[in-house]
Amino acid sequence: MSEATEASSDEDSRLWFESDGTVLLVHLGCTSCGTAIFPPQPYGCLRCGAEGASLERRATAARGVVVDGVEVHVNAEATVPYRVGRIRLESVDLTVDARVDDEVRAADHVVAVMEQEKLVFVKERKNP
Amino acid sequence: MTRRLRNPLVDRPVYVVGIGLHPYLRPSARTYVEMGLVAVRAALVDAGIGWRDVDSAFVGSGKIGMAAAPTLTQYLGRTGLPVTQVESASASGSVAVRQAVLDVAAGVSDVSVALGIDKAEFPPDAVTKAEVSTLVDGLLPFHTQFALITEAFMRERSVSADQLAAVAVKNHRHGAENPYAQRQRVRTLAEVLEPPFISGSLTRLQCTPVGEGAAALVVASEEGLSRLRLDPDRAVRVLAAVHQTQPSYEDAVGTEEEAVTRRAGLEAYDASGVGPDGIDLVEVHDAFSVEEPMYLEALGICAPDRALHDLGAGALDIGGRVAVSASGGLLAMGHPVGPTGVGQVCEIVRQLRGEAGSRQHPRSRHGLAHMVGVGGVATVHVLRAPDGSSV
Repeated sequence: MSEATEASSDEDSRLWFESDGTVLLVHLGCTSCGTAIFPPQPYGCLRCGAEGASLERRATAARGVVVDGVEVHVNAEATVPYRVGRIRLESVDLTVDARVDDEVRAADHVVAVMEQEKLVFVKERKNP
Repeated sequence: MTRRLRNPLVDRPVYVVGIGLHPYLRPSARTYVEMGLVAVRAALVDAGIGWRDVDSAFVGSGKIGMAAAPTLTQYLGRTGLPVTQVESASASGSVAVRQAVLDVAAGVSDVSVALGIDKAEFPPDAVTKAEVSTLVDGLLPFHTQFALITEAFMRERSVSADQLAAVAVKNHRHGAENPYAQRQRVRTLAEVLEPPFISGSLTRLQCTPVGEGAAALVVASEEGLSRLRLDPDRAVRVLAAVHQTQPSYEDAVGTEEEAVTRRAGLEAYDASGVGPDGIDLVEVHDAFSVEEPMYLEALGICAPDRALHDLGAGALDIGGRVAVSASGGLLAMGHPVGPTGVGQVCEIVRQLRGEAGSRQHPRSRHGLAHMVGVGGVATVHVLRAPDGSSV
């Protein structure tokens, strides 16, 4: 379990960055109502409408459990087939949709890695 | 929940007095003007009035672009009436209906027209222009979003892909009786389950065809009916016209369509004085097979976890306890976007008048039309049969 940490300001335009070999997701934490929001945006809190300094950029480990996943066979905007999953993050109250590896299925523990400059969630390999 | 003022339809009743459609079809060379004029002129003929009798018009379109309303309506004759284009993604036509109804209920107009139009084109949308990047930009088309919802639905309720595919079998059977439907072929369960898979377990016939077409209706006040000597036995009263957005942030991922449908349904039942047990006909936003049981349960038409059981028992067929998507629904009639919500109300009106021919549902007193749209939007309309209806 990793604690959410504050994202550095030079990462403002990124959804994720790597630190010590770990992929961290950037999200917003609303100091007004306590809600975690993903993806980050400059507009306002999706729950209470707070804006500006009330929204802190934070980073958290891109690790969680796949709730559901599907293979996509038709999409003119992408090379098919590919898999996407709905992932419940481990360290913050957020569910995100992301590309997942071919072997990933529902209930799998997954972690994000960079593959050819794309973020993909793969099955987490537990250390022996 | 947002504070609501009283329902204006109580003090000033509004009736649908005319309906008209241009068939829904695959991409064609026909212009939106040509299709829209067919639908409006048919609705005017059905009502027995002329364009000069219309006080206002609302044109629902999700994709057609700027200035469609005056461009189209100029060919009906110049009368100076206000024409307004409304957009709410898939619910665009439904919102046009509601605005026309409210225009009459507010006393601004005695007669108003709602028209839905669209071509099978897909211009950039405003969601993209907000420039909020996600991890799945370009990777999560609508069918994939609903394939994920389908997975959740099957997992949580232990139902099979076959049970969900039965929704499409029923709606194709209904659509085969509808001359305005884009898909007019009866399909077996095996045909519905046949590949190609689009996303997850969703096959082609469990996904709505997004084509083009037009649908129109004329609404009028009691003063309008009286002044224009319209037939009260064919006038279908609008009891509720509801439009809501996502009620809470907790529903933001995966379940926003159900949550907003539940709230919109409650408001519609409260406004109309008709509960879910009193509804005889339903048209829901069944763009993907999983949506029909989701929304029937959210609307209280079926008890929790019972929609697929009801479907299997024939309770949702024409002639069953409640006819669901007698038109064929979005799965068979189609989903040209702007026309869809207007076309749903046209079907309810046709049924409540007892004029639906081979797909007539007996004992039709109250009908409900439901749509959702991108952004957690839902609309619900409740309509009542004419007092003199023989259905």
